[in-house]
Amino acid sequence: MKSHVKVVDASFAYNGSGNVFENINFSIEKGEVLCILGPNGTGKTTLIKCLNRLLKLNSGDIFLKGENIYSLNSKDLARQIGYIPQGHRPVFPFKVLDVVLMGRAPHLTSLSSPTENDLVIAQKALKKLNIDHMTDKPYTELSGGEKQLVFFARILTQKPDVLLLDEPTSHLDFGNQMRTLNIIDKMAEDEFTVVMSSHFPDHAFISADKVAIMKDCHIIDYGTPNEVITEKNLEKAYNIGVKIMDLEEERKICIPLV
Amino acid sequence: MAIDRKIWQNMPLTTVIVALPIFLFFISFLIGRYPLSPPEVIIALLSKILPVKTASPAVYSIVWEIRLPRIMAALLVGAALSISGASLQGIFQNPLVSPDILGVTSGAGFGAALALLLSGSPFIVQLSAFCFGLIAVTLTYTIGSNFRGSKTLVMVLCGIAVAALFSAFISITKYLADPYDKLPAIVYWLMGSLSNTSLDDLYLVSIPMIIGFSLLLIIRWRINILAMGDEEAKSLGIDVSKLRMIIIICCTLLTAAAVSISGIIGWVGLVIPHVTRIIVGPDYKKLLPATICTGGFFVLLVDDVARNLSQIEIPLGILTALIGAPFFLYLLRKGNEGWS
Repeated sequence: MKSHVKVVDASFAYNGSGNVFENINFSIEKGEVLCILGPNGTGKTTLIKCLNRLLKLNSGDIFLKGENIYSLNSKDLARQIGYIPQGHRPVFPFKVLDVVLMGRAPHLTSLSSPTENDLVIAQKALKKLNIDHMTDKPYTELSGGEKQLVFFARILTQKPDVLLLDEPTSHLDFGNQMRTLNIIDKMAEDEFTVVMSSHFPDHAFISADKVAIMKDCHIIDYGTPNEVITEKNLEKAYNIGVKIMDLEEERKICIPLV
Repeated sequence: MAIDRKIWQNMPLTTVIVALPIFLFFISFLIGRYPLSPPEVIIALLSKILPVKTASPAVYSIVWEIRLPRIMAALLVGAALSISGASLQGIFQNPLVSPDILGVTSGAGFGAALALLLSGSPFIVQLSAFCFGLIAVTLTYTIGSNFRGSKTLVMVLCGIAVAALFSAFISITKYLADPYDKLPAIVYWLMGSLSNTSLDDLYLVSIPMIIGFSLLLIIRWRINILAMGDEEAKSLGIDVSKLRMIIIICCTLLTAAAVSISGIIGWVGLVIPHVTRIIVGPDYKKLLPATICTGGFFVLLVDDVARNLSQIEIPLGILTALIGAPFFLYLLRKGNEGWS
């Protein structure tokens, strides 16, 4: 059985500067959630953008179900990989429904626009996330948490099977952070393979099946949350003391030491 | 069901937007230095197609050779500038963009000025304006594509530089022009006017106009996605650079064609898209068809004023700015109604 997403010897550098990351290897199975941890500026976002071909690797390969992503056309890729960017500053106040409907783009031919059928798919997605009351609201007027939900609805409309999330829980309040993680869990149950970056090791304990810790261009450890999120690894990654405690059975929390 | 109801609710608005320019189209035949009555206009219009009793030659010639070309030109110019402005605002994700952002207007202005200086034949002037408009945008696009960084921002900055360059060329042409004969012609052309439009002018621009309008209307839904930003559009499977190039080509054809018959008419392409956005919302599926109507209506209205307000015809470009600029300021003051 081929891994759903497989990264082999991936390296990337912006034009003319040093490598952002190098020799990255990992693979994830269908329905798994991979959480990438690491300090600011280690290339988590860059790596996620490479998975989506928004940026091109300098060397190495990325495979989707055994197929090299560089051999797919952009529509095929978008039918398989969905992406929720980090923080978005919209210019025009599109209605929520219009934003969600954009998810149909990879399923339409280049000259056509959404049909009744596409509209129904978009409305179903809004309903599934319980935000159908926002359908006609301008999306510029939504809060950060609501915007996040709209993006998830768009992913459901786009219908990929891999989901890339760049720090989905940053800029959100406590409650919305957990609600977002819940949605991610549900999507994984629905056979979505998820790759997300995060600043919160706690969140990896809550929803990740696999964790990769990035530091200085490399993945310094990779495995299940219990194996990888250790006091030693976190100290190495963030240069601070960290204590990991058992809150209850099967639930650990990380506490930074001052 | 819900969808049907929505269309129904929007019906009156759609009807008004479509009906206003059509209504004004007929009204515009009646007014002018030589007033005509509705029956005279209708008979004159029909007499070309149907064997109705012919109108007097004078009326026939006013309707077909003077007013019709001018009215059509006003509608086309307004529609072309507005749809281009709206589209470019979307792909550059910037509500302050107008159709001349990539230098097409300055290029066309220089083309016209040069042709007026060297030849003076209306056909050459129009052709030269159109070609130099295209040249200016090609220059902007080529330079912009070779720079690194945010493509949209770089493109806009290059456009500003290229426009400045061609403005300087215009100044040189003016400086060299004979102050009693050529210079006034250049200055008058640059102020924008439809007073000399003939049917032949319209035939000439029809091909670029048809290409521009139809392509933009076909791909208009995708402008929504481009307006969300390059990365998002790419992640939705859109070939961003190709789509953006197609849209830029369409807008350039439309704007260059418009400028080549009317001269430089400012503000329409900036203000009308905003007004229309306030009326129908930002969804390009509705916005683009609506801007065609509102843009055509606005320029026709202003041109009717331009040719009827006083004994001497007021250049159109002056009036659109006189009306457009305060209106734009009013919109800014009112707050971010149509954008954010």
